[in-house]
Amino acid sequence: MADSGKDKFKYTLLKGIDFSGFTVFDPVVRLIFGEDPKKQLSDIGRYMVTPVIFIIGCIIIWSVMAPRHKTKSGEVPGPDRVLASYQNNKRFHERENEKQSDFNTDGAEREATLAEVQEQIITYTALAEEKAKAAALAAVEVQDTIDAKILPLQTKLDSIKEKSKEAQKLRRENISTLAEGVAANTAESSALITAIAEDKALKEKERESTKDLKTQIDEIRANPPKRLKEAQLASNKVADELQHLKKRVDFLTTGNRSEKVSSSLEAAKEATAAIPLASTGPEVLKSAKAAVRNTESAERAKEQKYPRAATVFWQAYRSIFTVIVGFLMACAVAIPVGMMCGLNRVFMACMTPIISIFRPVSPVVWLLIFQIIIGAFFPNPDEHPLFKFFNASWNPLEFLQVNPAMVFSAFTVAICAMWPALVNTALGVSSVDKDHMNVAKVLRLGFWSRLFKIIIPSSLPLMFAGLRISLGVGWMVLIAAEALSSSDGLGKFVWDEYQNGSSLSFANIILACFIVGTIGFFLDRIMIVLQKIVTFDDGSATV
Amino acid sequence: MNPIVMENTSIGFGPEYGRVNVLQDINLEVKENEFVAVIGFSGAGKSTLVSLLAGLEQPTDGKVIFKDKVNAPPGPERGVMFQSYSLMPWLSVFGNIDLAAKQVFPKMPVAERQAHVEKYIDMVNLTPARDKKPHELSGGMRQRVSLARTLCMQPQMLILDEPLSALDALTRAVLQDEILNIWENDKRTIVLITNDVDEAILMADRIIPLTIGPEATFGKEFIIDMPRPRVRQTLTEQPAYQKLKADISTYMIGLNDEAKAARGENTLTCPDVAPKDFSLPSGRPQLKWKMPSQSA
Repeated sequence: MADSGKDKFKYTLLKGIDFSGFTVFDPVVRLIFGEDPKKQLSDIGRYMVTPVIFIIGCIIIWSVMAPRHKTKSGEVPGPDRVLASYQNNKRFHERENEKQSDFNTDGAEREATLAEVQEQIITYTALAEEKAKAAALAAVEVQDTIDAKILPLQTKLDSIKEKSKEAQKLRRENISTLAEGVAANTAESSALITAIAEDKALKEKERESTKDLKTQIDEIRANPPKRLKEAQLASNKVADELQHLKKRVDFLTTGNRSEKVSSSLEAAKEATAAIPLASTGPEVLKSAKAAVRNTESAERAKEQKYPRAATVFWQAYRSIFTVIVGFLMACAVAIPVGMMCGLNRVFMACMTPIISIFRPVSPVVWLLIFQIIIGAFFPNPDEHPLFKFFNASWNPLEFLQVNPAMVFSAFTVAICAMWPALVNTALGVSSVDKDHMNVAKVLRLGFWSRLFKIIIPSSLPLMFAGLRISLGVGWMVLIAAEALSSSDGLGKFVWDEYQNGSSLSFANIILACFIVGTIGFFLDRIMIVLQKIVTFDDGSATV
Repeated sequence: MNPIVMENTSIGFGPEYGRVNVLQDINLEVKENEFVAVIGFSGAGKSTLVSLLAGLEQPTDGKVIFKDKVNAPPGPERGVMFQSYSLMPWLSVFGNIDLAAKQVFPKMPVAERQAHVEKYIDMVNLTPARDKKPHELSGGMRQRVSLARTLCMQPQMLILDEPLSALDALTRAVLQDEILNIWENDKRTIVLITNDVDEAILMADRIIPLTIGPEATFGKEFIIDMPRPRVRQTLTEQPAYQKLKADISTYMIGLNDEAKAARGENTLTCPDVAPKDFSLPSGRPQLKWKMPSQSA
């Protein structure tokens, strides 16, 4: 065939798609290569366009329904708010990156960045002024329209008030004359009581009639036209950016690490130079002390790290790292123990009660137990070699700031994720095809070659099915564990947002929900691919 | 010295109380380079017999003597070709055969071993499928791999456990010829377990029927002294073949009736029923398609 190379590429691509489980894209690839376009288009319509329309429908329902439900922390955020929250979080993350790099730069690079930032400040200052003016103008305009809207209502209200005031005055006078009349025995006391009751009822009625107008006015005041809010938001955004730029300048000048070091060294030098010039003993002492102090602070400044604020992406990296560590710990225990269970019935009998009792225990209980037990191993976390290793400046994982809380979370993940892998491994090992074992007997395979050549390969599919469940369980457990243990991660992010209750919190929580789901999806996909690699049949057993 | 001898061998499974032996008082002597076929009905205990011959199961009574060793554990000297292929699905054709070769000839240099394995792959005509996995192969090809694996161990004795029963008739014929061919070129002792009388007559020197279980034992043996090579196409026309087939079939059916009688089963006469005639009376126009209401 002339285009066999092209065909080969196409089938490699299709195989890859099939392998990774994204079979939805299969017709797209076939269409690109011009294979039976009519069928492919119908397939795309059926299996891609329809789901997309369905999801769009879901999003529309979400955006319509969400604002209708008012809660204590504001209305339920719609998709627009969650998207805005994503952008906010992303910008926050970028700013942290910028500030961190500013803190770490030195020399000519620092100067160049400083010049650039200062240029930006000039443009942003102008922009901020402009926006602030626009916002103020909008505020005035909006005030005018609001006033115009309120005015007729207010006059109506005033007139009603005036009228009722007069009526009240009349009734009061009437009541006092009646009271005097009763005192002088010229009137009935019952008439006075009726008059007082009537007055009360009328007062209530008058209040009712003004209440409606009052709420209308309040509503107009509370809901100014959107353009005011937009103008204010735009102004705030620019002001925010400007503030960030100013902070950057700070990190490029006085707050910069190399600057701090050099200024301290400079001061030390000056103090050293002042020693011979001093005439009195106390003066010499003062200069010498200053020299020592400044040299020390220069040393300290050299070791300083930029104190990053926790962004949601950083929390996500930490969560992923924690779940992987926990999952590997689970594998390290579950696979050998599961194999021993599958190989030896006595060991299985020993393990069964332990598995049955500890498997249903809640992750919350495990977390607390681990906090107590493992906490005892780190009385002084800063000095512990484990944390020294992970937080050493040469370690690429240093940015994750490994701490004891992370270790507790990882252990909790490990113990909760262990069971499915253990049980499945035991099942896989104990259910090796009898014929394969007969072959092993005929070949006189020894224990180890039987284990590595027959038992492990044939139990791999079941083992990986267990590992996939384990990773899913681990990811779910981790989020809960982080929320409870205050170990930085997505769980803590959600918990903090819930506690802090600002106007953005609710949207941030829903954003975290999407991030957790997406990461969970990709972790599962990875496991599916691994499972397919070790499954020797056509792999149709795993979906 | 006979390669394998069974002396009053019995085997049973289950608890000691009320145990019924699957095989009872089996006596067998197979001569060097003899091709023996054991035929029996399904459920007679053929696979148990294979397990005993291969040493995978130990007899409850009596002895299985293989090369002067009594009740020896299984080993590559007694190569077994299993009914269900028993290939490792995670290994390629080469890998499956190499697994056996590596175990049997641990000291053979890698290149030599590879040549050895490839020789056997070639012997069963699988060279083009050398790197395929078992699930990519047809049933006949899988059984060939199994055969090559068994042969590459160079066993002193081959035990073939209904090797061709899962294959279609044409593939079976081809593989029968291949096995015979290999055996003619490289003689060794073979015990073939089968349920196919034709296959047994075509291939074996001696046919031993297994009576119906439980407590199955060997029946009267038939010597096949037809000259080799036996040609499939002309074999069926030979009077000797026809007589043998008739004799064996009669004997086997007789075994079946005996077993039924022993179990005390009565033959039930079938009630004389004939299907009712639902066809349309002739002369009326036939409907091309059925009305939904009619079909319901």
